[in-house]
Amino acid sequence: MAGIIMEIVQKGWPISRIKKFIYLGFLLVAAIFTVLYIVKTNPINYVSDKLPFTLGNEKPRFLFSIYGSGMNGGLSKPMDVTFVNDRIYITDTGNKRVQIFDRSGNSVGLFGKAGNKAGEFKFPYGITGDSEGLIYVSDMRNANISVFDRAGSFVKILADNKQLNKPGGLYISENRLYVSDIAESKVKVFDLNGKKLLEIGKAGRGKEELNSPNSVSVEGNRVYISDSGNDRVQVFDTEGKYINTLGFENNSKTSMFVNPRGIGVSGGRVFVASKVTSYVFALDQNGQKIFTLGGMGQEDENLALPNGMFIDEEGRIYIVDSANQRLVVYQN
Amino acid sequence: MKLTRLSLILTLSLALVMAISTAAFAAQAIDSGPVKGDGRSDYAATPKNTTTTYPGGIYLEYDANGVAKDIHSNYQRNTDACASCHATHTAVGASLLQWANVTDTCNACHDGTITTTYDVVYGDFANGTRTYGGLFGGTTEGPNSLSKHNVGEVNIAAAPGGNSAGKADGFGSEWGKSFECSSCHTPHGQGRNFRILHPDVNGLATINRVKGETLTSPDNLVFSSLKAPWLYGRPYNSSNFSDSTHTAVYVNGVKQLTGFSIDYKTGKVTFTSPPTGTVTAWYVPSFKVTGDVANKLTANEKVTYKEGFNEFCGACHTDYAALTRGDGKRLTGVYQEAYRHAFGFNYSSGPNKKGLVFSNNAAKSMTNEFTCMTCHVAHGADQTWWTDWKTKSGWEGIVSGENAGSSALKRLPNMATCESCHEKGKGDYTY
Ligand code: HEC
Ligand code: HEC
Ligand code: HEC
Ligand code: HEC
Ligand code: HEC
Ligand code: HEC
Repeated sequence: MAGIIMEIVQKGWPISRIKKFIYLGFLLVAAIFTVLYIVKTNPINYVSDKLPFTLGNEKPRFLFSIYGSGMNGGLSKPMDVTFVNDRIYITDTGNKRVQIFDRSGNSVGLFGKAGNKAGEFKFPYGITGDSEGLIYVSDMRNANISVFDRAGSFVKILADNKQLNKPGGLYISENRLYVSDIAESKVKVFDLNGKKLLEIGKAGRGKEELNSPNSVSVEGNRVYISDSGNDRVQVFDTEGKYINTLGFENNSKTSMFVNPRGIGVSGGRVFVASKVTSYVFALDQNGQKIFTLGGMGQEDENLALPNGMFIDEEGRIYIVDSANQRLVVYQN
Repeated sequence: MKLTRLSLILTLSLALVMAISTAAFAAQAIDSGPVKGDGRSDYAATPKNTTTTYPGGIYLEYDANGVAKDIHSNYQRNTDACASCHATHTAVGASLLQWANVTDTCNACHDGTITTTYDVVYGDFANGTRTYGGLFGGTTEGPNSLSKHNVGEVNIAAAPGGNSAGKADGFGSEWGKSFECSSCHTPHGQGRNFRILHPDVNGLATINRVKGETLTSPDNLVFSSLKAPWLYGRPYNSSNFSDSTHTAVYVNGVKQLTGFSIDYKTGKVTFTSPPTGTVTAWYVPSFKVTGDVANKLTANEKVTYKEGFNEFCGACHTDYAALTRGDGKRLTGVYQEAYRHAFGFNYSSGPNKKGLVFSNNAAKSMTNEFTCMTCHVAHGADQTWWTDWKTKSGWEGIVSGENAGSSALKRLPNMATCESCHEKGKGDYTY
């Protein structure tokens, strides 16, 4: 290819010959995609599988765990995590607050207390940050999303119980806030001023229907929704159009997930926390299992009822290990 | 020349853009087709159905047929779902349970994050309707005082009115074990009790093991016991047989190892050829708690208690048990004697009974049996729960919290559970 271009550039081909060449090129591209379409292979997956930056079968490396600061009483039933402002924020749900740690896992603060007034929590659940470093926390029982500054001072309520029923997982992508509404079984998309833009899914168990979605994650054009009560993950595009379903390998009839929760995407892999089986599954773009992390237990590389998950830009995987009352960090 | 090169670059990049958008388009067009699955991996309430076997169900093989399979059919056998409560996948036995995780595992679904079932932490379900069982979460401070069964935090021996020494005795065999959801419920539904309540609560059934009952036969092949169902899971193992929990079948006093099968559900022993002589069995009859749930998981859910509640609560709160029915004039109790209020009687006439719940115990011919459930909830109570509790009509005036040390899992605060019958004063009166 490069050779041909060099030749063209150096020798200066006649226009007609170039034209012919381009038409041929078009035909070739069309033919390739026709073939791919007929054999039902996703060209993006096909190409991305061949690209060097996918990580093959190599497992992420365990880095460390965070049990919370002893002084503050540790974590109690933590549910979700995010990494923003160079800080790790964990919803410490049992203690009805949020704990903040630096990148090495040292405690640097906490915010929030029990209650139902603005800035207080009953069941703090999803957590995410925007490009300005503001922190968004959903409260499943107060039915709202509160915004805090990076140090944890309350800023405002972004959406309240008129717009939300039981908000769970949160994710911000392209200045759009994705919220899984567990009770309404849909994902609601807001702009960062709290205006609702879109709803994805509706209650049910069929295709494009959801049951108690606990988490949502966005990568490029793809919105991954953990359809917890249907034991699967459904993928939509950012306009809410259904793409596919993950969890059923090789035409298996039963899902590999039981009560799936957090989802993270990194290096061509989709990570899904299967809460009740205590594994995090790594899938390739076709939904085939590559490997698992965890397994029920208390050792470093075990998990006990993993819930929320977040993957940062450097490929660090943060997994909330809820029954072990800790956060585990892996490097992808 | 320059121009040709430019247009060439333009055309090539156009081709590239087209290729990429075709790819994107193709990606959109490809759909994995209809969603796969066996039809039972959603967490919706399983329809009551006595004939269908759901392959994904958590019911064990011996319970596979004829059970009202309405609970936990969403567990999947071919995944590691068992491992969340059992330590190994290769052999599952009672000794391999990871007890410490059972309560957390239950609350993976029962904490409100799965809205097609009950939230036991806040004591409600999807549309905000209150559960009958009360709540484990809630406000602990001040007069809103939450009281609850502290699962995951104490041993069964901590039960007031129980054996605080913690050693197995003639009233219970699990005193020394950790107190979990699974102390009161069996996730597998053995015994087919109301709300999958445990058929061997605190070892009550094991203690009452039948040591040699003569079975009667209708046809020389099938021998049956009336005290069915029998508890399963006690391996029929000759070398281990002396263990006091096992099932065993004898013919003329000789223990049988082959040539018969047991249907635990009906307590029937079927021989392949008719045995000559007397057939006797050692077995563990399930402890029964019965009740009905109408309009399950809807705003009109209505629970009716039937048999077994005094004995159920009394398995751990032995001193308060119906077995030693008090009458306020004599001392009763196993571990500690005291004058105790009468209960277990039929309370069909008398004052209002506001906010209290009676059992419809056909076995004892009582339509208003006075039981533990009359005054108590099973999980816990706090002020928000009292405010919302649906059968409190007549006590709407109750707005205050509890004034005593513990709200003691009561259906109504302060003296209201007593004043409902005795009507000596306002329900809100404090002690
Ligand atoms: C994977 C999710 C899940 C887990 C884990 C789970 N449950 Fe459930 N449970 C459900 C669902 C869904 C229902 C209601 C639907 C049904 O009837 O099957 C239910 C119903 C129940 C009921 C009501 C039964 C009835 O008669 O209506 C009880 C009691 C119960 N669960 C106890 C438990 C206990 C105890 C545990 C832990 C040992 C547990 N559950 C773990 C999902 C779960
Ligand atoms: C939610 C927790 C939980 C899950 C999931 C679970 N079990 Fe159990 N299992 C228990 C508990 C608790 C007991 C003890 C019940 C008792 O005390 O009788 C038990 C008991 C058993 C027993 C002994 C039965 C008896 O009568 O004593 C067997 C066999 C068993 N489980 C098999 C399984 C299999 C197979 C699976 C997967 C399909 C499974 N369990 C999944 C909690 C669980
Ligand atoms: C002390 C015994 C006991 C313990 C411990 C216990 N339960 Fe229950 N549970 C009951 C009884 C009794 C009922 C029936 C309550 C009623 O109908 O009034 C019940 C009812 C339920 C129900 C049906 C909905 C409701 O609340 O009425 C669910 C679900 C349930 N329990 C789950 C759990 C879970 C999960 C745990 C552990 C966190 C647990 N239970 C611990 C005794 C217990
Ligand atoms: C498996 C054993 C067990 C069973 C069955 C059981 N309990 Fe309990 N109960 C306990 C234990 C252990 C405690 C005390 C420990 C704690 O929770 O702090 C307790 C405490 C209590 C308390 C005192 C709570 C307080 O804070 O003052 C009440 C009231 C109570 N139980 C009522 C009941 C009723 C009603 C039932 C029947 C639905 C029941 N229990 C069944 C084990 C049991
Ligand atoms: C008439 C209503 C009523 C009935 C019926 C009833 N209780 Fe209670 N129970 C109460 C009240 C009121 C208290 C609180 C007493 C106090 O604060 O001293 C209480 C307290 C308790 C306690 C806590 C005692 C302690 O020392 O902390 C237990 C345990 C208990 N009940 C178990 C039971 C059991 C088991 C039954 C059934 C056998 C039962 N109760 C039946 C009203 C009732
Ligand atoms: C269901 C209605 C009912 C409720 C609720 C009730 N009682 Fe009673 N009470 C009775 C009846 C009936 C008797 C007569 C007992 C008998 O026949 O042995 C009685 C008798 C008594 C007696 C006299 C003692 C005796 O046996 O002669 C006292 C004291 C008493 N109750 C106190 C209470 C207290 C305290 C409470 C609340 C914890 C309470 N009662 C709740 C119906 C009730």
